[in-house]
Amino acid sequence: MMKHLFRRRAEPEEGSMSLLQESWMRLLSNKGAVAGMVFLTILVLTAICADLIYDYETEVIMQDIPSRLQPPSLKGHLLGTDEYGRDLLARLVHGSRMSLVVSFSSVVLALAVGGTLGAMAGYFGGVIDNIIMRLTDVLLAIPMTLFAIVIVAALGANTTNLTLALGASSIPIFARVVRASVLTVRQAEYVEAARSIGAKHGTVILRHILPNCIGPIIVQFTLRIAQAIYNTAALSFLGMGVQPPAPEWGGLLASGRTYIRDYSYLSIIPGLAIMSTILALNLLGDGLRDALDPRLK
Amino acid sequence: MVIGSQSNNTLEIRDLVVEYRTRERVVHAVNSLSLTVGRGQTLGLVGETGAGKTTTGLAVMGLIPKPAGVVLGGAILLNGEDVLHKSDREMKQIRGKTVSMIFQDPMSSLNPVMSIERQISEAIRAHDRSLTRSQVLQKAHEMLEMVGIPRDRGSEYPHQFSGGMKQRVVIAMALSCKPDLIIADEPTTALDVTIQAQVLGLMKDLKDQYRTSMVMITHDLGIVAETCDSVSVMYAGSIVEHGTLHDVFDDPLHPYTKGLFGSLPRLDDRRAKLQPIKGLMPDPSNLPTGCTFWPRCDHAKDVCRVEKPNPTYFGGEHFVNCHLFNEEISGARTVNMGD
Amino acid sequence: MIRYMIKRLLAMIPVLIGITFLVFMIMQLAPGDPARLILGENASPEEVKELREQMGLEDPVLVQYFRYMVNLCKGDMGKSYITNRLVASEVAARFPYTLKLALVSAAVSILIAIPLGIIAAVKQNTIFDNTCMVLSLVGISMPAFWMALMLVLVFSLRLGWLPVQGANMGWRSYVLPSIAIGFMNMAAIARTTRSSMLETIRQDYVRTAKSKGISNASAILGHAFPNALIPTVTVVGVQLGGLIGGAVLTETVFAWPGLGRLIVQSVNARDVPMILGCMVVMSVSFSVINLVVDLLYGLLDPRVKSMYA
Repeated sequence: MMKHLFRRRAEPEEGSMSLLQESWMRLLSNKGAVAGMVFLTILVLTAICADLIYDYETEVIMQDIPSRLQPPSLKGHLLGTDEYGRDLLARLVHGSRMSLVVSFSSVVLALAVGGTLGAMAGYFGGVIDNIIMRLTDVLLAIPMTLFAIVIVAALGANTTNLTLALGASSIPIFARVVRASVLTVRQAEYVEAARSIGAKHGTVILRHILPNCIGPIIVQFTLRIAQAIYNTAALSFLGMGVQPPAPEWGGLLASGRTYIRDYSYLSIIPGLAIMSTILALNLLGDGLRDALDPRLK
Repeated sequence: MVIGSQSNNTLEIRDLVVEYRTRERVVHAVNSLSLTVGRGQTLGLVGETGAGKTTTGLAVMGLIPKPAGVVLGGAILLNGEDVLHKSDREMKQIRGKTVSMIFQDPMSSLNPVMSIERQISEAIRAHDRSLTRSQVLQKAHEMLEMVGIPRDRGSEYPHQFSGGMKQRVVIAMALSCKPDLIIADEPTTALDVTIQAQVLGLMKDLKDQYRTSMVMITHDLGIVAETCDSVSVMYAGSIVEHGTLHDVFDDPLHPYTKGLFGSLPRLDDRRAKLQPIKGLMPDPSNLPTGCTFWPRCDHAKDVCRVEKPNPTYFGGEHFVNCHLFNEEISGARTVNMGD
Repeated sequence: MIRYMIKRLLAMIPVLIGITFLVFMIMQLAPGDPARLILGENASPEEVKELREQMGLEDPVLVQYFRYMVNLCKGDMGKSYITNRLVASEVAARFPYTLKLALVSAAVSILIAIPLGIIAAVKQNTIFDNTCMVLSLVGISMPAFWMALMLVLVFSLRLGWLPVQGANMGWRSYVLPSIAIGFMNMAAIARTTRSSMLETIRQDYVRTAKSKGISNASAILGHAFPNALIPTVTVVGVQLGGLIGGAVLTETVFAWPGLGRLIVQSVNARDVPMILGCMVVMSVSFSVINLVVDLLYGLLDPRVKSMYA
């Protein structure tokens, strides 16, 4: 895949490029962003193919007490085994699936709800705008991690509730971003034109306004995913997220913590996985911001 | 009165060369430029945007943006002393005290988060450490009143002033240490026409009061006519014609100077067509060989494309750098050199 | 300025009402009966019903909320379901620990990050700058709780220099928790300082300042920096707000006796009044931080100040 990307970069098309193509070129000239993309592509592929690499029941969940707490080695278990003798790499690979699914779906949820609210607020203005914005004021006045904790506390700790909680805590941010973008394009002439020929509100928002605020949304989406990965791990670390024995990076860290004195690899390795993923997303997010809006640099 | 034995000139620039180097290209901003400003005199430095006027001013101040900007050669004599070989410490003493600069855009040249009296005080204190805090403030207030701003507005911030008022503040700041030379870089371009006249009048009065020399950088010939004693016309980083106000206005010689006047509407003959100079300023990273003006010149000859012209003098300080005159009046140079 | 302050303080009230209402309603969703929780499994249904009536749990939710708010205004946050102690006194005992830790780490991270950001901007594209930027990128990507674990591993378990957990060893107890909490903030603040300095250093007014004959250093510190501080303060505010939420994790790792740990314990025990109490105090602190940041704007930027004068 990457080869294909680089080939396109080497042969820029003749004549004028579309704005998107131009942004894409700028993104590819950013080494950090490309590194982030490569890492994330590998990660996503790993998560998708997790079942082909390690069998969930026999290698990820099933305990194997005799081979417990084996340190990383090239011969046996590459990253060692945990306190129940399960291969850490297998759990990490399946854990990536868990982290990514929870983070991604929570951010999609937040984008859907927050984006709709923000678009409505920006498009209609007036009372609707006021109500929605005061609501986001309240939500933003609660520290995000805490808000997620409260929701999990009320609904109970499991993967679905974790996704809901993380999604809910990101809603106000998307509402703000989308509202701000909508406000800037709402006055544009092509929107006026669409409205003047009698297009429905929904059509105007979806067809004419949203495509033009896609830049800030993409950037925010990437950065929110990074935040969601962090919060997924954080809540699981506190025992309020994905429940064992299902593997999740924060959960792996929490159980590894008990053995930190003598088996520190159990704490070091999951943390490295979380950090590199967030780092990759941050690199990509920064790159996207510079590529989509060079003025913001 | 005379400081250096060799010069009655406040500023003398000889063969100054300045380049801006970026990764992609080298911009030849100033190319072997020479000019002179006599004591108490005002020199108009005229040319289109991009001719290198501001760079010349910054070079005198020692404020060419680094690391991109490089002074490659030449000399800049302020009161007879070459500032290009001064240390940073010495330059600090010179800036504001010997020479100060008024920048083009008063909107952006004042610090938005500092009261204007503090910004003026800073200039005063930089050159006189012996003053007490209240003396400095007193002086700053005097400067403000001198440019027509009541002293009790001193504690206000730039955003509370109009453009013209801000430029007055900048002028007060530039004059606060009574410099020998002021470089005014398009001081009125960003202002309304009525305000322009006020500010120019103010500058002229203050200059006469302090007997300050001045370089007036502008592209507006009207301003030159109003304020200057002599004129240097700049094109692509060097002087193409120089003379007293009368020399240049009554008898412009260089095709470019003539072009500048031809681009102005005339009141005496309103049916006369405007004659803009054809073409655009050459790309300073890719200057033409020979005379830099030849691609836009109606009189260009073969020699113009190959050889740089030498100055031809026409009595007094009036000279022109153009092959037309090198040949036509080949005797003129020697005859008039003696003046 | 004072009028602006009062206006801002008043504007906080509806937000706080909103927060308490939201959290109160969410906690209503919590399964389980508090009366049953208090009396234990063996209590008879009559006893449970009696206690519910006593606690006012039979009343409509809005009445309960109203009662809670009235009591809150009197400084009464109810009693813990688990320990039967007053929530207000428990929260008051824990809050100083969270606050002290937050202040120490904020102070240290600001004092280190801002000079680093300035130097990196002045020495743009040098080794120093590049190192700072790579480190800060890693810094903003490193989960604080993992960093906490790694610090414990190296400095407490391997080197034995500093305590593993708790707050009872004087300043030494503060070192690791404040680094763990502060590192990410430091990275974020350094990045913002650098990028806003890069912008302000190139501004015309810095050139004007130099043309007056002041030194390069004073032009940068006296003119470029105060202007760069305005966007930096925003990020500092966001980061300080994050300290409150982030405290939950680091306090858990270091067994720090602050609010963050209390709320985790209360969530695990389903101790609703305690959770509510913690949330109220933490959200108020968060809002106060935002208010302080807004007021700082007024001090730093006369353009903002005159808008409210």
